[in-house]
Amino acid sequence: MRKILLGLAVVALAVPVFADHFNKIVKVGDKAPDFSGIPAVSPSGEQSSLTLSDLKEDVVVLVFLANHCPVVQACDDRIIDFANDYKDKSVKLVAVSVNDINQDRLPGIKSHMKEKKLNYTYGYDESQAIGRAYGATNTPHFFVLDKERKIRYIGAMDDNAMHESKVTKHYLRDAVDALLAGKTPQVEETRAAGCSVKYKKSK
Amino acid sequence: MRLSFTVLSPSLVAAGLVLAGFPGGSAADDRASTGTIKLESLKWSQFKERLASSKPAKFTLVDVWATTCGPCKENFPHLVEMHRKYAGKGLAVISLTLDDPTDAKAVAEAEEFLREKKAVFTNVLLDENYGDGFDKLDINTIPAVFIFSADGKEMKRFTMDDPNHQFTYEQVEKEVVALLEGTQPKGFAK
Repeated sequence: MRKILLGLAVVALAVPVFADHFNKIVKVGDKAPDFSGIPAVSPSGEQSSLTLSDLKEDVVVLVFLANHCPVVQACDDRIIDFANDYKDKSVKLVAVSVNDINQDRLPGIKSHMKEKKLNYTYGYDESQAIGRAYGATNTPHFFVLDKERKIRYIGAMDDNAMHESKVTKHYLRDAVDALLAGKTPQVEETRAAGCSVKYKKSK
Repeated sequence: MRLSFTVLSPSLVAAGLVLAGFPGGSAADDRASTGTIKLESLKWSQFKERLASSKPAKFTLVDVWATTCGPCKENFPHLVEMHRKYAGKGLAVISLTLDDPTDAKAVAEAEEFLREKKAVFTNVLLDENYGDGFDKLDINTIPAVFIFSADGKEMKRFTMDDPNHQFTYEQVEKEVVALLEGTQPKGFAK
């Protein structure tokens, strides 16, 4: 028995300790959960709303954010750059917060938007329903939807959320580029790195 | 994949006995050791060895946190409290921070936090590439809590990874009590 256990331990060490599926609710290939009428702020600071069926672009990037989160703050500029670089390629990035934290609600979003000059519409879902539907556990947490609005990529923007200078893999850009080229992204799911999203206990 | 650790080293068992502080847990012990609260840098393999050598403690409770994690810090007193209540009954407690080991400021902040919270148990800084701890533990986010058997086998994990089943520290404590009282059948781990 001892020998068998030791053998198993060796095997366990030889195999990567992570599976390539991290999301507990949705998986790549699933139809993107619908959302509509989520109160939001547009880049100009105006009251707006987020509705999936209103988005006509070929690719939609939905990202869960939280103003308070140091990891989000470290990624802010990268997300702005992404939205900017892809705006003429029929790619639309929209952001949403579901955190039950004052700073992460609409007024906080408004001031964060102004301060950082965010260039994408950013909503707040008090019900947290969109977060539950997508299994969003982190901020930032990215979901890439194709033209048929199927989920094609889930996870992190790149391989170093805190330090852009140390990034070697650009998962989000690579996935979106693949879809725009009519291909399947090489990496379809990664572990999102960032602050945890706390959900209210379901009734 | 669940973690399974079976290799035991006699010297580490001895070290584990000392560091686990078992069967401490009295208020007097806490006061005596407050001055010696420290943060140990351990590689993942060393951490696993430590877990596998926690006897005579019956179980090891591991709380995974980081200084950048608000909810982790908010809930840290629960860990201190559980150590106070159950160390004498056979529970070893380890805090494991996933802060960047190369970030001196973060490490100093972690040490300061542990002293402030009177974390009179084993405190470990994972000495691996920043972020690798999540893969090693197979968790998406923190806080996360694990219960390991005395030989280092994962018995139970509590995570925030499923929006519909996020853990609370009340659940952790319930499980700890059940395990210590032996109301859970032995070897129910997967």
